[in-house]
Parts: sequence; C-alpha cells; structure tokens
Amino acid sequence: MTGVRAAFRRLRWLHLAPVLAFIALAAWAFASPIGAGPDDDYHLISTWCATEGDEQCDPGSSESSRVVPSAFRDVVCFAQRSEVSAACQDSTAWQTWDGDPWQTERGNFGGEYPPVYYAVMSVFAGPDLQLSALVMRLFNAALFVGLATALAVLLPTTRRSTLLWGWLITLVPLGMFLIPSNNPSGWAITGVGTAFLALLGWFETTGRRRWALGALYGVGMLMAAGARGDAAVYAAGATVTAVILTAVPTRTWWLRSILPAVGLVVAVVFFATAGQSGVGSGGFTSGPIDVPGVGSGLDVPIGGFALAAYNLLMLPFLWTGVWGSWALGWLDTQLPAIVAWAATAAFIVVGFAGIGRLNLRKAIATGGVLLVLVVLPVYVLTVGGNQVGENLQPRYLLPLIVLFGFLLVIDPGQQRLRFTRVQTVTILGALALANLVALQVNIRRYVTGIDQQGLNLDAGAEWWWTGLPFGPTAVWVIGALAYAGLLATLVGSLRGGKVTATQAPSA
Amino acid sequence: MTTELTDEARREAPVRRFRWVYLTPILALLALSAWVFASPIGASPDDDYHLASIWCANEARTDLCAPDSVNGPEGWRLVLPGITTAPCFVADETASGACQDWSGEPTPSVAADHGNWIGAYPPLYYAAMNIFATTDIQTSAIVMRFVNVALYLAFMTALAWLLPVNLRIPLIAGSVITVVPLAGFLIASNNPGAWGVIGVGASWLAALGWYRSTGQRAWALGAITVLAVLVAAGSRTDAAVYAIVGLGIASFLSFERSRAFGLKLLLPAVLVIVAAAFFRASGYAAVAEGGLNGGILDSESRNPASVLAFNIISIPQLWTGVFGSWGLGWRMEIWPGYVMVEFAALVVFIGLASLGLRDMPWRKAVMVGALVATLYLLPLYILTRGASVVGENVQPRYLVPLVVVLGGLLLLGISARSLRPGPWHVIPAIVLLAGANSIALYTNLRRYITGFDVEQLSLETGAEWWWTGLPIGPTALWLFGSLAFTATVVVLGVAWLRNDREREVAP
Repeated sequence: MTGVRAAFRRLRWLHLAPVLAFIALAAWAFASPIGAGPDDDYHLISTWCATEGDEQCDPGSSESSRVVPSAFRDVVCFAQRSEVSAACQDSTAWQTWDGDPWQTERGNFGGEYPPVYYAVMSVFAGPDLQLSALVMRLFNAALFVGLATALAVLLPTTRRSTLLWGWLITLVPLGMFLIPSNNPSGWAITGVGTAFLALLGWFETTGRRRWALGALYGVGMLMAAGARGDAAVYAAGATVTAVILTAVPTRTWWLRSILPAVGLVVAVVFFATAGQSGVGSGGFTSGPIDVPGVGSGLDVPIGGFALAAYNLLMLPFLWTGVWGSWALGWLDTQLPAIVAWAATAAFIVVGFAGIGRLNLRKAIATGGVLLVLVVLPVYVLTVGGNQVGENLQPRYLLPLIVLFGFLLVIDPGQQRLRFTRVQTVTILGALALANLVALQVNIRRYVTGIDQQGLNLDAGAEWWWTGLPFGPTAVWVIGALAYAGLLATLVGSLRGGKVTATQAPSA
Repeated sequence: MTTELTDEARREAPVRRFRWVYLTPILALLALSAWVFASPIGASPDDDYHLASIWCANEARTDLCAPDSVNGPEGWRLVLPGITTAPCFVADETASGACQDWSGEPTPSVAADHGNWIGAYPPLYYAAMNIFATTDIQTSAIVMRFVNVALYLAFMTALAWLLPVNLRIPLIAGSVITVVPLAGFLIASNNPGAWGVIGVGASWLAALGWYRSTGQRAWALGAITVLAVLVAAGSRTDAAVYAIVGLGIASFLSFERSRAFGLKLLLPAVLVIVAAAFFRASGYAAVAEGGLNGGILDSESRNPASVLAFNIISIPQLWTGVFGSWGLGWRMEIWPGYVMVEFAALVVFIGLASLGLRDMPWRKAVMVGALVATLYLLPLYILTRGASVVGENVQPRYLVPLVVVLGGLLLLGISARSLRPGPWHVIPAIVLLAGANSIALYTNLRRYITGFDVEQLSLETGAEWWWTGLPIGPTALWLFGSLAFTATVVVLGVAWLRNDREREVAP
C-alpha cells in the first residue's frame, strides 16, 4: 500500500519534468538576442523568404538575391565582437522594419539547405522580427520537449533511461543553446535523436504504441533531413544503427523494415537535393570565423599526411566543443573551463559505464558511429586544407554525438545500466553546474559584452528584451533552477526504478 | 568475508600465479626508460635551478660547485658550464636541444644566482641526487633520472607485494590511470616533482597498509611509510603538505576506538611533525600567506573579486593539465597532438575512477570530498592571494601528486566485488592509455629533436639533437617505449580482470 503511494508520489513529480525541461530551454531561448546563433542572419532571412510573397521579402535583381529590410543585416551587429553587447541592435530600426531595403544573396535562395525547416518556421514569421523569432525559439523548445515526452511515454521502460541519459549527457551546453534557437542545427539534433529512439521502439513494441512510434520516427527523420544536408546523412546513420540493433530474420521484421527503408529514401532525397552535400567532396567553406582558444600557437603551414595526422590528433577538441570547449553563438562566447570539464566528465562517466555493457550488435553500432565521428571530420578538414578549429564546427557533429551517446547507454539484452545514488547525484550535479555557469556566461556576453563581469546580470545591463517583465538575472536563476529541478525529478527514472528479482542484473 | 577469501587466494598465489604480472616492474622500467631519454637535460620546468642545486648540494665537492668570490658567498655560486644554459630551447617551440653546449672537462666557472643555496626547497632531494653528480653532466643527469624511475618502481613493487590484496588495485590502477603523460614525464626527470609524485603516491597507501596489517608486514609497511614521507617532504614544500594530507586520509579511513589503533597512530603523527618541519624550513612556506604572484606586473590594478570569480570557474583547467591539456616542459603551452592525449587519458581516469563511486562508504565519501575540495581550494587560494589567474604561476604539476592519491582513493573498494570492472571497461582503457602514452612520447621527442617546425613521421629525418653515444635512434626509442608501456598496461589489465574472475569463482 505504501509502495503504491510512494510510486504515485514519484509519478506526480515526474509529471513536472516536461514543464521544467521547457522552462530550462525557454531560459536559453531568452538568454541570447535574436541573431545570436551562428549564421543566424542567413537563417532568419531564409525563414522570412521561405514562402513567396512575404511582405518582408521581395525578389532581388537576380535569382540568387532578395530584397529584405536592412534589419536582417543589422540584427547580428554583435557577432564575433565579444565585448559588444546586443544593445547595438537598438541603433538600427529593426523592430519597426522601416530601415532601408537591402539586397542580399545571403539566404537559402539556391537550395543550399533543405526547405522544410525554413518552411515550418515561416509559419511564425510575422511583422515583428523579434517577437516572431522568439516564438520560433519557444516552438522549437516545445517541439523537443514534446517529442522527448512522447518517447518517454511510448518506449518500453528499459529504453526510458536510455532516452533520458542520452539526452542529458549530450546537450549541455551547446545543445541547450541550439535547440531553442533560430538555427536549423537545433532540428538536426532533435531529429536525429528522436528518429533513432523511435525506430528502436517501432521494432520493439506492438499495437498502437508501435504506430505512434513509427509516426515519431517519421517526424524525426523529416526534422533532421529537412533542416541540414549533413543531418540527412546522420539521420540515415541513426536508421541504420537502429536496424543493426534490432534486426531478426523473420517475416514480421522484414515487413516492419519497410518504414526505415522509406526513411532512408527520404534522407537520400533530401541530401541529394541540398547544395550542402558538396561538403562531402570539397570540405566546408563557410567564412573563416576566428575561434578563440583554438590552435597550438603554431603558425606552421602543414599539408598532406601531416595535416591529416594533426587533425586526427587534435580531433577530440571538436568533440569536446559540444560540451563547452568551444565558444557558443558566433563562436564569440567563450565558456570557462569548468563547463567543458563538468559536461565532458558527465558524458565520460555515463558513457564509460555504458560501454561496459556490450554485445556484438552494440559493439558494431557504437564502433561504426565512432568511426564516422573520427573519419568524417578528419577527411572533410583535410580535403578542405583546414586544421581543426577552422570551418568545421562542433555543432555539425553534435547530432552524431547524440547518436553515439544513445548507443553507449543503450542496454543490450537483459543487462541494465545502473548507477548508485552517489554516482547519479555526482553526474547530475556536474550537469547542473555546467548548465548554471554556461547560462550565466551566455547571458553576460549579450547584456554587457564580456568586458564587464559580475554575478548580477541586471547591473549595468546595456541590452535586454523590451517588454519582458523579468530581467536577465531572473532568467538565469529560473533557467538554472528549472534544469536542476528537472534532473531532480528524473533521478528515479534514471536509476531505473526498483529492481525486481527478474530484472536484477546477473553479474 | 572478503579478507578470508583474499587470504586464501594469497596462500595459493605462488603456485597459481607465475604470471606475466611478475614482469610488470621490468616492463614499466623499460617504458619509463624511454621517457628518461625522451628529453634533453634541462627540459623539465625550472631545471636550471634544480640542476645547479643538485650539483651544489654538497659543499665538500668543490670540483662540482665552488663559492663565488666575486659576487660574494650569499646568493651566488660558481657552477659547471652548461648547467645554466641547458634549457636554451625553452623559449622557442621550434628550437631543438641542439643549442646546448657541453664542455669536455668542465670546472666550476659560471656564476649563478639561481639555486637552492637560498633554501627555497627542502634539501633532501638535492643532497641525494648529488651522490650521482659528476663533471659529466649529461651522464650524471641520465643516471639520476634512472634513479628516480628505480625508486618509483621499488616503492610500487614493494607495496604491491606487502599490501593487503584489496589495496593493490588502488595502488597500481590508481598510479597507472594518472601516469600519462605528466606524472610519467616527471618521474623520469631531474625535477624534484618526481619525488613529490613518488613519495605522496606511496606514503598514503603504505600508511593505510600499516594500519590494516599486523606483525612483520606491518613494520615493513611502516618503514616504507617513513621513507615515502621523507621522499615527498624532502623534495618540495607542497609535497610535504600533500604527504600530511595523505597520512590524514589513511588515518581517517582506518580510525577505530582501540588501543592498537592509538599506538599505530604514533608513527603517522611523528611523520606529520617531520613533514611539517620540512615545510616550515623551506623558503616557499611563505606561499601559504602571500600566494604566488611571480611575474604579475599589474597585480595592484587587478580586481580581487574578478580574479576570484575567474579562478573559481577555471580551476579544472589545472586538473586537466595533469592529463595533457597543457604540454610538458617549461611553458606548459598547448602541444600538437596533446588534445588526443588529454582526451584519452581523461576518459581512462574519469571512466575507471568513477566506477569507484559505486562503492562509497561514508568515510571514503568524506575523504574523496575533502580531497576534491583540496584540489579546488588550494590552487584557488594560492592564485587568488597572489592576484594571479589560472594559467599563471600555479601549474598542473604541483597538483599531480594529489591527483594520483585521488585516483587511488576512488578505486579503494571496501568490498572489492562492487568495483569490478568488466572487460569492456578495461580493454578500451588499455587501448586509450597505450595510445595516449605513445602520442605523448612521440610529441615530446619531436619537441626536442627538431622543435615543432618539422612535419615528418620519422624522428631521424632532419634531427638536430640526439644523445651522443646512445646506440638507438629516436624512432626506435619511441617504438620501444610505446611497446613497453603497452605491454605493461596489457599485463596489468589482464591481471586485474583475472584477479576479479578468480575472486568471483572462489566462493
């Protein structure tokens, strides 16, 4: 009887998790001004120009140009200037759209990116740039939380801790920044992770639950492949790895595998039609962005084998970039060492425990993704003549790292990945700390620029959202507390609930 | 239950266990020998000071070091030519060891004001090393490096033999997961930091063994405790403090209200007084009050609150320096390839040590908490008092002895079963650690043979510096050292797994 009551009580706390997750992500949505995501001028213009006949987007003099309000140019006035706060936006007329019309080729006019992300976002594109973009961010946050919650409800209980651990150890801080942003990278992350788990569930459940998971797989695939060309490839990878983990030579399985086959076709079509697919042969060629903290201090030009070797040996720097060793935003928000250390440590602790539970399928899937995580960046960089730190950014790899994280924590067969209370609290503590510090530093960068420091973000703030009833410090505190609260509500689920006799690990 | 089992296992041991693990000391000697030859004389930080101090440690040996009649006896000595200029390459990453100039028949003729005749460091290390000093500086320094390696392995071997079985994992695994790259480099150097690592790493476990064993074994462990504390406290001021911390940890873990414990406590108590005396006597004790502020020109103008805030969120950078986030050598700059070394070594350390979180009786938990707090607060205090920020003055090598203790402490299993790593924990760890050591060794060799301005795999091509008279070349040394280290960790890893399997089968 008391057991039932205790379970009931825990269930109610758990119900708060989606709300807390949304608040935590929403805080990140408010933590940076419009235009703060990398290349957001490009993405915002592409969004407003996604549907023909938008008031703010007129045809330009050529096929590859459009005429938009100059606000779209000025909105990123602070980009790559760490000391400049977002107050520089005020000097432009961007909120009233009455600035000079500006002709630009910077936008998705030639189909470099797949169209789905921009088309969906353009639904929210209204006359108020700031409000519209903010609504898009909140929509993306809600979409992530909605998909994760749906998966948590629909997946078999053994996969629930996979879902939670996988997302938790891969998202702080870069994912927390990108998911509620105006950047298609957010969809790439959400889509790849969702598609992988949903497909796993598609093979492992029955009835209506299965169909619901099949639908989620479709949503995930569309989100990933519809956002970025490279994410289409990653989504295909997620599909293949889920198939590797679940394949059995039965008629039912073959029937069910029609869904991933369709998914693969969709991914291929999106990839083939996106102009970005060229990076596979020519490397990334986005404008050179100075990356603070990168490089060995060597100015030695290297090439050929030496370049490949150098890139291989410096490669982990790209991986740890997703945990904060790289700057956020336009690579102008350098995070302190404690963020990268805590977030990387959390990933290592969980991933290392997970790799201890290995069977052949998991080994193949995990090894395959790891191989891609090594070969892809080294190849792309070396072919493009770049060193680690140039062009290729950690956010391009984040969806793959999410997939890698899911694979590491997945339970093969009957074995369950378990953590003691001390382990769980240590890991979650590290994540909460990383999120707390990263959020503060991120807000600080935009309210005053990094030339001012201090715990109180309201003091001397040069920029803040007009009309928002609470200040930057409040956003920071609420966001950090909501995330910590989310982790607290998840402790029970992460530890897998009570171990019954049949579930107890044999080892 | 556990002790019965292990005693039984130990009685059977000689018969069942002629194993490869007996070869570990020899393999480790070979592996560390490669590090002995991997850098020229003067390569470890402040070696001009340390070499001069060693050669001048015995006033009777006037062929090695003479009073300076010109500048006066206070603060000046005449040292052998070559000693003060040995680190000629440190300022320029592209300079090789070829800039060194060794005289054929040197006499003390170079005035030096940088040496331990000012009493900044405890005298024991220099006095002991002075025994091996001759006018052939290079040969003597190599012999001293070998002495340090031998001392390390002697402590490890003796302790592995004498300690209760359940303390062997903390001893050996704790050392191995913290040895790449900084600790290994230091142990095989002329730097008193070598004795810091050796003494602190050995003393706390020897003391723990002293408490936990009886009879002759206990006395032998007591004797090792005395030696290890002397080694630590006699080498560096901070190592004296760390030795005290280690004795405190051992005593806290073993505390019981009994006469026997009270009597045994006498030994560590006396050693604490000895270590404290070494601390008080050395010139660096003032750091405890004033912090480190060397080279900070604008210390007056720095805002103490900002310095504190920056340090609070940046301290982990000093921890990761132990694993390679900073290169070896004087300037601790980022070295090419060390990103991979850091990542691999950190995965092994965090991954394996965090398994220890599974078994946290309250005493261990308190000590782990206290040690982590020390690792945080000590550099924070020293830096902030001196108006320095992370990256200045305090270097990761100062913390490495405590990190070794932390690794061992985390792996301390009260019931060894709970800490059992699986094969898929140990195998990746072996691969990562062996890889990290190999890359670290290669880059270290490259640094001094040509400097970082040559891109060749072969270390012979374009070599500017190498040992005269050494029969093997640098590439051969690298391969040999990498293989020996790999063999060491493979043998130890297999032994760890087998040891656990036997214990599992035993009941």
